[in-house]
Amino acid sequence: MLENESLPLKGGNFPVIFRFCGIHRSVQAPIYNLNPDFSFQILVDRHYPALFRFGLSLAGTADAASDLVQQTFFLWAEKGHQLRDPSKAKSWLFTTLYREYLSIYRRMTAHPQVELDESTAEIPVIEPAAFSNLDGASVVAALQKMDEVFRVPLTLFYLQDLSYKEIADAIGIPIGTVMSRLSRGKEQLRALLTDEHSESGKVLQFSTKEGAV
Amino acid sequence: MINDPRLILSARRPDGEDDADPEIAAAISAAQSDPKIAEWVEKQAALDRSISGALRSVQPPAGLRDRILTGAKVSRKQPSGNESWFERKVWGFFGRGELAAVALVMVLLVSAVIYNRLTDKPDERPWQVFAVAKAAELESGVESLEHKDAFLQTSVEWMREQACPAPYTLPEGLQSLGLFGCSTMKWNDKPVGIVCFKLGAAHEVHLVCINAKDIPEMLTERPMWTEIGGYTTAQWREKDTAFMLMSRAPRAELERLLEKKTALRIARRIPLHG
Repeated sequence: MLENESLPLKGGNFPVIFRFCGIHRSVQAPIYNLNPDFSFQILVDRHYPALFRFGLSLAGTADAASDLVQQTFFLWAEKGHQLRDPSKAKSWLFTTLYREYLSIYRRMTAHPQVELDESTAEIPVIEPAAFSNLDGASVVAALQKMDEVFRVPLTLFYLQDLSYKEIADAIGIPIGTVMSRLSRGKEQLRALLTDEHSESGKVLQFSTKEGAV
Repeated sequence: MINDPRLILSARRPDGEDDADPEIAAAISAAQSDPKIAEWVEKQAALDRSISGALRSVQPPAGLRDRILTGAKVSRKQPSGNESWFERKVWGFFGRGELAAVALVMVLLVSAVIYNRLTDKPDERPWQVFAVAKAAELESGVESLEHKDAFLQTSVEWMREQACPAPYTLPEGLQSLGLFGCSTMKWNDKPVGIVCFKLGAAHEVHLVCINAKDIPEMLTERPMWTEIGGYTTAQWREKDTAFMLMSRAPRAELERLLEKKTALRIARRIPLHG
C-alpha cells in the first residue's frame, strides 16, 4: 500500500527492530516474540471465567478458586510455549487447574477414595420444569455436596467448554467412565437440587472478598 | 460397548456442539426412533440447558483478570511484603539472580530468532496475532497487496478464485469505504484472506476471513471486541466463516462500520469458452 498511498510507518516499532536485525522474511514473529502479552491476554479473556467456575466447584470458595486460576495462568506463562498445538490450550488449562487442585487440596483434606460401580445405573425420570429458575449459587452449592468423582466431570460438562472426550483426557479416565459418571452425576445433582428447592427460601451462598457471588 | 443411547446422550452438551461426533450422532438417531427415549432426550436437554446456564452465570470476582495479567508481567520492582501469592512467586524466582535471568532471556531470544530463520516450524501464534502482524506488514509497506483493486466486488471475487475464505455479506459501513485491495495468506496451512480498506485520511481498516473450522474458538454472530498489539479488533462468525475487523482507529468508529449488514452483490464471471 505504500506504493499507492505513501502511508507513514504505522506498525509500531517492530518492523524497525526486524529491519535492524536484517530480517525481512517475517515481521510477524517479533509481535509474538516481543509481545507475548497480546496472545496471553486473549487466552485469559477467553478462559478465565470458566476456569474460575471450575475452580469454585472444586475448591468451594472464591478465594481458593481465584488462587487456582492464577496458578494455572502462572504455569501457562512458564510452560505454555511448550504446547505445540495451539488448539489444545483450553484443554491444557483445565487439566492443569485440576492437577493443581489435586496436588494442593488432596493433601489438605485427605479425601476418602470412593469405590464406584461403573456399571450403567437405571436411567432416571426427568422433570425439567422443576428447575426452571435455577441460580448459579444454588448449582455451585449442590455441586459442592457431590462426590468428587461425579462433580469434576459434571462441572466440566456443564461449563460446556470441553467435549466428553476432552473431559476424559483432562481427568485421565476412559470415555465410557465419563459417560457413566455424567449419567449418575446428573441423577445425584438433580436429587440435591430437588432437596434444595423443597426447602423453600433456603439458598446456599458463597462469598468472595468483593462480596457474595 | 455402551448400547443405551441415553447413556451416550448424557455426554451431549446442551449447546449441540457434540452433535457431529459419530457416537453422539448415532445415539441421536437411535433415540429418534423411540418416542419414549426421544421425549427423555428432550427433557434432559432442557434440564442441562437450565443447569448449564445457571453455572455459567457465576461471575469471577472483580479484579481477578487484572491480577492474572499483572502477575504475568514480570516487573522489576522489589517486593514490599503486601504482594499477592502470585507476585511472591514471581519475585521468588527472580530474586535468585536477575542478571543471570536477563542474560538467559537475551540468549533465548537471539536463539529463537535464529531458529525461526533456519527452520520452517508451525506458526504457534493465535490466528488473530498472525493477522495483526500481517496487517502491520501491509500498512508499513514491508509487504504489498497481492490484488490491488478499488472495487470490493471484484476483490471478493478474486479471493474466491484463490480458494480463499471471503465474505458474502458485509456491513454497509464497510462497503462504503475506499478500498486498497486484498491478499491471501496461510496460517498453519489454512487459507486466510485479508481485505484492506481506507478509513478517512489517517486510518486503515482490515477485514480478515478464515474458515471457522480452522480456528479453535467458537465465535458467534455478535462481534467480540479485543485489543491486540495496538489494534482494536472485532471478531465474529457468519455461517462457516470467521471474521476479524481491525484498525488503529478508535473502537467507536469501527462500531459504526458494523451497524448494518447487507449482502454483497457479486457478479458471476462467465467464462468465454465453455
